[in-house]
Amino acid sequence: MTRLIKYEFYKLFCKRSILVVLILFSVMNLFKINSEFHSYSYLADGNDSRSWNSVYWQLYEDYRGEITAEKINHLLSIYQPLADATADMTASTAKDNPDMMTGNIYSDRNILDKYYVEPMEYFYHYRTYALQVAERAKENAAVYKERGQTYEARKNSVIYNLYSGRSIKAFAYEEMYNYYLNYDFSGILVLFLCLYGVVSTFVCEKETQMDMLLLTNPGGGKKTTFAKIAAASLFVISVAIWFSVVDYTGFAYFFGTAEGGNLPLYAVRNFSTAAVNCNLWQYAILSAVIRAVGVWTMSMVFLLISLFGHSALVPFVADFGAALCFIITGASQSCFSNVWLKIINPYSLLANRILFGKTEFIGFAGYPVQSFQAAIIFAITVGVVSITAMMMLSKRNSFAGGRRIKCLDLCTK
Amino acid sequence: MSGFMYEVKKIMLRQRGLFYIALVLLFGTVWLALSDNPYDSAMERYKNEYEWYLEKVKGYCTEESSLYLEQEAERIAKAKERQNSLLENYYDGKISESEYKKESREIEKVLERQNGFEVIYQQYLYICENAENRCFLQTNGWMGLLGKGTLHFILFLGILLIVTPVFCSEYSCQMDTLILTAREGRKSALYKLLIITTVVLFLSLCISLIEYGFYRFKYGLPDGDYPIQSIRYFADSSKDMSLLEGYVLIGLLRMFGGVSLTILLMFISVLAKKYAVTLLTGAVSVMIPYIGLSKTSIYRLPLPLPFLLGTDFFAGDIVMSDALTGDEKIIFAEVDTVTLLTLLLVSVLLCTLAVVWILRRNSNRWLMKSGQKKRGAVFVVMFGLALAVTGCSGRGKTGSVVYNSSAGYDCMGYEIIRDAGNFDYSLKNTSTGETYPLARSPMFGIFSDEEEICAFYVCPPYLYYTTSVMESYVNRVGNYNSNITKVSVVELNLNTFEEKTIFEQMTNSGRSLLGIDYETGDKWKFLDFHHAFFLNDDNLFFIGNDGITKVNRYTRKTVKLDIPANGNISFDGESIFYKNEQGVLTRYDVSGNETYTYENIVAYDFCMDEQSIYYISRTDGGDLYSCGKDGNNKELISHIPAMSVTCDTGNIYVLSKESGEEIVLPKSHWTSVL
Amino acid sequence: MGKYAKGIYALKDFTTELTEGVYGLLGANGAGKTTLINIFVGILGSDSGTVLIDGQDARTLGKDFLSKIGYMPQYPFLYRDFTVMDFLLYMCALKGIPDEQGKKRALELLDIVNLSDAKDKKIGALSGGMRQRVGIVQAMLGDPEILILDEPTAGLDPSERIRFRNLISKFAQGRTVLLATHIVSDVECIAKEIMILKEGSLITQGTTDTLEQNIYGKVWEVTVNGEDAARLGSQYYVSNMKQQGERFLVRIVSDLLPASDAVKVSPNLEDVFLYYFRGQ
Repeated sequence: MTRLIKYEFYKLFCKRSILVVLILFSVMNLFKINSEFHSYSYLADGNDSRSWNSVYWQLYEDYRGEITAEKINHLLSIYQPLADATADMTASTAKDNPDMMTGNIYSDRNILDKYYVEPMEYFYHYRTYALQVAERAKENAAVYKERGQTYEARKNSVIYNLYSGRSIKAFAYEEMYNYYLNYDFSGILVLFLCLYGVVSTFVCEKETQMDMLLLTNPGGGKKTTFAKIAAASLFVISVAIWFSVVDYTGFAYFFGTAEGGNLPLYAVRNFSTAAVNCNLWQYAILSAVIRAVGVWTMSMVFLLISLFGHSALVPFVADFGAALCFIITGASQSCFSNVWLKIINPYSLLANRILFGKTEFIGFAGYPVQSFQAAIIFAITVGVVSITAMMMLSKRNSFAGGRRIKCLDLCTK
Repeated sequence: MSGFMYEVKKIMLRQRGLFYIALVLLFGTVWLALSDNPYDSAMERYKNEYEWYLEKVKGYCTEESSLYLEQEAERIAKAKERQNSLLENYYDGKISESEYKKESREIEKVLERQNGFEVIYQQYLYICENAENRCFLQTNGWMGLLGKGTLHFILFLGILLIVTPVFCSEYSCQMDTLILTAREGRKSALYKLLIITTVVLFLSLCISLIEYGFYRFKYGLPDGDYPIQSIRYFADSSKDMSLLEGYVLIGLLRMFGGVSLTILLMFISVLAKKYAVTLLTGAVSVMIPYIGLSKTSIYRLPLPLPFLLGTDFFAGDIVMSDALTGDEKIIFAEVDTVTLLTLLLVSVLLCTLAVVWILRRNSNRWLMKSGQKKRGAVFVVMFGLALAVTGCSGRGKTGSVVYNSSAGYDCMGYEIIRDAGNFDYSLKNTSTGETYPLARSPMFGIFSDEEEICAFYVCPPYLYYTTSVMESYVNRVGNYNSNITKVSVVELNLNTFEEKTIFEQMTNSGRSLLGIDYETGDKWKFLDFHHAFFLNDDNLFFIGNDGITKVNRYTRKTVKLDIPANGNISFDGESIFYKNEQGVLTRYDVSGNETYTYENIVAYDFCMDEQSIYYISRTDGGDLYSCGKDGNNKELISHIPAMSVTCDTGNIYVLSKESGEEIVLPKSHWTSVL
Repeated sequence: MGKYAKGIYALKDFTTELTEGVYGLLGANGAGKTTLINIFVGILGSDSGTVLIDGQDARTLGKDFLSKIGYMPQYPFLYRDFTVMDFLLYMCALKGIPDEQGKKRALELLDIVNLSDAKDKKIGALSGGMRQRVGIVQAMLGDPEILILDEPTAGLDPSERIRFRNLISKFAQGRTVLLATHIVSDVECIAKEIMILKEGSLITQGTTDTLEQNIYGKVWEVTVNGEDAARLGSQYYVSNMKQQGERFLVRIVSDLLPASDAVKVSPNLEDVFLYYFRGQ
């Protein structure tokens, strides 16, 4: 079987066109990451000694690491006078003030505000916020228990456990991770590439009449179908992981650092109510795995659809249309609290902050299940059902039992 | 049958071209009808009033029209003021009924079109920003027709389905070699190109015409000769063209976009000879720049995408202010005419080269003048393309309860209290004194100061409340295209404390969906300003300063009700009770959309419970009366002149006009107070 | 004519002159037969050389050249959804034959190839042999002066192959037929001349007799036991081996006497083919 999978993989995916598309998409992805940095980071203003980039990294050495009262006082001692001086907007707008780090008082205030005061304030206060949530959850659990609401009580217990120990003890640069975690573009590229790769898995055999030949071999039929599915799975998972690696590497390269990886996930504001307690680098790995699961599920659905096509045309357009629907509904529903819609849409796994950014639950047999857990279970179930359907619907040799080959199919070949 | 007709038959019937055309037109029309919302809903709602004013100022803003609008604004403001004092004077007996009626008629005449005036006045303010190229006109039709910068996905998928098999099918059945060796084989490719181009042109034209017809029928498309800047989408455009010209040009550009996509697909299909590669290239060439590139970049690429979108070739700069530095950032840079023409020229050139190459590839070698030039042509097309790319809730459970917007809430033994320090709402058990946070989610409001509770409605055993939150879609510098404001209606079961969200809506448009601007229009703006609400099984009613908006819970259709929101609003599950502009109690049946006026009840204030309406009579100097819901069985409750009245299950609360104190009248004993 | 691609000559200095009659183009797989045909019919461009018809360059003739040729590709799939008649009429349109005339011609040809009953059948429902016959009918529609057939009998059963051969003979009257194949028996009886193509070069051309004569004395037969038959098979090019009781009659193509008791025999076209393609 391993040999069969190897050959199927080689036959279907080790093609020049796929390699070309993979390279092209990887390059496009890197361009896009670069444009994210230049469009959205204030630190993309060059390496001039008065640029924000230089000033930020100069200051960084003073404030990185454990958040202490000294550091906070030191920061405020610099920031507060600037804030006071600029509060009424009557300060000098000169851009070459030698007393200023960036040459301008407003600019100094802004860089400190944006990159040090705001994040430090958030980091520092996070423990209190989390404690409040934990306290509320604990109270809620007791109230619900009293009222016989087992599910709600359990849910709040989970929330309590999740939030009770949360705190951000150290200060680090988290901007790169902020953009990395909110980056969706590569997910779309992965989807397109996988769509292209898998759509011809069955269609190709039909076009070359190899499906009939395969049926006459002991390794044909069911075994080949399984080998194709396994090869396609291997391909899509590899592609998803490849792009996750390109994303991470690209962001680290263009932002010039991978600092902040040890910060907890909730250090990124969008993830203040994150569903898991892990570090940013751990989440990067988790995210890659979850994305691979999402891509795999969608690919299995694509594969199932392509089983019914004689040429790549209708399956491709149908799959493409389905992918667009998943993407558009997934992206537009991402801000809403209808957890079920997020769970059943595999796009949520591709852009997985939809699931991990918020602590959301669904009830299953009276037990709270986090949205990301339910989405993973659902996605795997859909994938397995698709595989089962493919195995059942694929043609078999009539002597091997199961579905017979239609007479018409043989006559017309 | 001629070769041309055979090709037509092959494409239209054998390759299901006709079926796909019908499908695109059908789905395109259905989608258009389902997804359309008026850009300015007030203009639509007060259409007649608005048009009355429009008739007077139509066209460019002249000194006369400006003067007229300013005077009219003053006249309306004065009339409103006069109306209030007139009513006071009448009920205080200072003027007679005939005097009141006479003056009222005059005032009503002034105010009868005030809603429409507000719409036109907003338009006037917009026009004043640049009166030289902006005109007064009905804008909803034109905004719908021209103000969409999104891709027509149905047309795009249709083109993929129709164009891809044209050459690919020949390769898959190896007919290409037979056609190549036939005397008229070369014509076959030419016919294919002509037929498919015509089909795509026809489809694009039909979609443009359907859109035109739809908006003309639904909103009207008057005054097409007015400058395109008259509609907000093109506010800062420097293009000198009329709306109709804009429509025609955008339509033509979209047609060209369709044709260039067709040629690109044909080029790839002849080059790769495979369905999958052709489809992938076609999909990627449109979707990747659409999602991955900024609008400014898209409109500078010689690809089919900018032409398929079309609209923003004529839009002006979009500038936004950076939230941190205050610097202005150009979100979209206008495409000047030279750039547009250059882009068009390059695209036409690329298309021509691609067509020539397709024809050469489908020509018998003995019919070619030279076999060497092809590489040059292919190189140019490929280079051009490379350049282009690298530029790169359960129904029926809501019980019947009487709601009074001015009254407190009877929360099944709970009291809603607001913390003066952090503005958090809590539920206080009135018997035990225990307090619970009202919002049951432990995370509510902790991580965002912008997350807050806006209004309440109690319908035992449920307490409904609305929340508003501003979320950052992505914590992006500048904050443009990254924030959303969301209003939700949450249902809290007061027995079990279970809660669930029954309605959610994004109210602002500052959001980008995968790089594509996501517009919500002004349809849901009222949610940002609501201060009270109530609901039944089918609808939600949001009370704002300018009235009540009904929202269907299932279809999400919104209707602005003609109910003034300047006093108490009561709802008994079937009808809304309110004071009309003259202070006369009025009932509006929500299912039948009928209004009934209680002519005998003119009230300063009123409230109601399950059985009775309590009101402070304006005609009787502020006495408190009660009557049945039908307005009959009027009974005097109190002679003490009152300013306002509220009630709960057991008591009636009256604010004395003289002392300014609240007097509690137990419902069971009020007769004894007399 | 010559064609150079991917570092090798697909066709090298090919020159020949064809007159009326059937010409067999013999060659092993990959010898350049299809390349030659593709260049001839204008699917592929040549790097050098041209085709002259009665002294006129095919390029000058342009469309008239195409009117003079009828081409049947290897394994024609054709349009599965078309009926036979629809397909032929479509081909008439492509060939510039007026509709009525085309219809008449198609019916005549269908009658000749015994497919009149199948004219309303969808091509997708036809057997391989029937589809090949539709293929030759389409090639004959324009009554071409030159008929070019690329492996027309590939994949056909013996009876279909014989039927097809007879059809070719019938259609060959008054025209030039270039028949590319690697099946010797297809051309042995019907070809006026045989061209043998090897590695893109025309190595010999002549009538069957001439070609056979050219290798006279290089074909031997010997009757040996099983052990010797196996030894001969490994040492020489055996064109045939026939069991006769306990012993084997072995036919060998060799420049030298393979065994002392071997006797010279008259070569046939298969021997010629084997002689030229020894080692391939």
